[in-house]
Amino acid sequence: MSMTSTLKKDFMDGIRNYKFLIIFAGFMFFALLTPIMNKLVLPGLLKSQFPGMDQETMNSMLVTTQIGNIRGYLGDIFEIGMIIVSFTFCGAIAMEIREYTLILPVCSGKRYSEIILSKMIVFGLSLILVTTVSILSNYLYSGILFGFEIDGVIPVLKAGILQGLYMVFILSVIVFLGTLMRNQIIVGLLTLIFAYVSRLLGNLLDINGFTPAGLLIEAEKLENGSAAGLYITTAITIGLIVVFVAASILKLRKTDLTRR
Amino acid sequence: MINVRGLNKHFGNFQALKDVNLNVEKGDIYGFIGHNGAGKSTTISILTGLAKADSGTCIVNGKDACKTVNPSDLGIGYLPEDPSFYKWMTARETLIYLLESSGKKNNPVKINEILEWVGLEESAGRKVGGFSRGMKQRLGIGAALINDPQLLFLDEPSSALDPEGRGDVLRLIKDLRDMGKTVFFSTHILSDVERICNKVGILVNGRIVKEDRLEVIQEENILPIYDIETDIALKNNIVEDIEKLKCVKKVQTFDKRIQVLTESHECGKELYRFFSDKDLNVVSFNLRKNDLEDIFLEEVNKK
Repeated sequence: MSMTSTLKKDFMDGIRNYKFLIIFAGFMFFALLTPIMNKLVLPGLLKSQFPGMDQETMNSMLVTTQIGNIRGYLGDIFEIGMIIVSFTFCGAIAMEIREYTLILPVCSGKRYSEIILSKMIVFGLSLILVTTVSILSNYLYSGILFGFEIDGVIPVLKAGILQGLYMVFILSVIVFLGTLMRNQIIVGLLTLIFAYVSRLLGNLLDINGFTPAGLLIEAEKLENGSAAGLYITTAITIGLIVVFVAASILKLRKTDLTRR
Repeated sequence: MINVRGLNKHFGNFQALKDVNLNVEKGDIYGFIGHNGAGKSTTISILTGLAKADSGTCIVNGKDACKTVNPSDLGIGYLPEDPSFYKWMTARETLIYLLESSGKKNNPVKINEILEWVGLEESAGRKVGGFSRGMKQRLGIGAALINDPQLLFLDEPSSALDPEGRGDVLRLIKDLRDMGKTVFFSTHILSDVERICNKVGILVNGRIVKEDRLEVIQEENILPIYDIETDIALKNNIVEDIEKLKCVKKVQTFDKRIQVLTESHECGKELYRFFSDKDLNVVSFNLRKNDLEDIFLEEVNKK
């Protein structure tokens, strides 16, 4: 009963504080905007800037395929969607500690593990759902505008779920940082720095396959089936999520919730 | 219900609690008095299992609160100094959430009873974010009672409230006493303690300097105080002369009014004679007993 009430509370929090709406609107904005930009806005812009440019050169500068559009969307989501996710959920734990809203539930019987797990479940599932729905929308819309070229919807679904899993990993980082510091803005900024720097290091050292960012690279392939490397990347990501969640629970247990 | 021995707590180099000992029996309404920053909230945080002590034992409801990981294991109710709720929840949703937090099912009858008792039945559907401080405090008392605990910790429940809000909160605490609950109640409003508590502990700079039944403390400190008002402000040399009287312990001046702490009632005659001899016009001459505030200030000044 206690866990159910925590899940219900976090779901209400997501609805009433517009967290779900912000995430959904943010991801859908890029899902629908990318094909529109590539089909209608950018060609017009190039024509006006370079009036003498022939069609072939122009096509080489534009994204004119469904796959190109989906990859463009996935890139946008890593760069800008990450900001939306980080700052929407940055207060998930930090604000609760800062505003002392955990004191009464904890005194009434709420377990620290329930508090952390509930947030991971409710917000994590919402992220997986939103990323999947958004990429499907992008797939359909870019297919309508540029023609369908992907064999079935499975690779797109797989890409959405992989992207969602990466976002769940980011959420676990946010939750962990939230147990360490009470300023939610700093939590959001540190999460962004962590995500961008880890991706950059993964590229430089060519170790993305062994980091959660490898999920995003795998998603961009838009392929059916799974390479052996994907299982390793997925296992590492899930392992890191478990580590961050466990560390968050332990840290929260040792936190003086009444400290001013 | 509560037995604390040798409790110590540091924040960095600052020692917030120094060898604190206190004892609360079943059914007591214990007034925990101290000025701001004396360590009252720190003590309560430790006794509720929300913070850890550096050393000492603190038996609460038969369990060692100093070693408890989950505060709810102590079976207590707790009202923090500034109770925080989810602003987007209604009062009813808040109580349901807290009731379900203990693993129990929603009980609409119980929720309605609590809302009615704290006088929030008409605001039950309103979001807590729009509540006044007094309403939040009353909701907090209701929340502390949600699991029907026998022991409640109330941290400064009436301190930041207007007179009406304070009256409401004190009425609720009196109700708790009538229900047979044990209440550990911290405050710096001493008149509140005199109104509802039967036992008192005075904390000064992290140390318990006095602890006993309220009537015992009052009897021990029953020194007569004379409030004397004259038609003109008394000159310093006159005040010094009053201080020199054998039976006078302490004199405080407030413009045309002086407060004279004496050793016995007999001193009244001497004071009256003094003012008569000096040909001073006395507007009023009143005897009053040492109240808790005087006792508290005396203990603070000793330190």
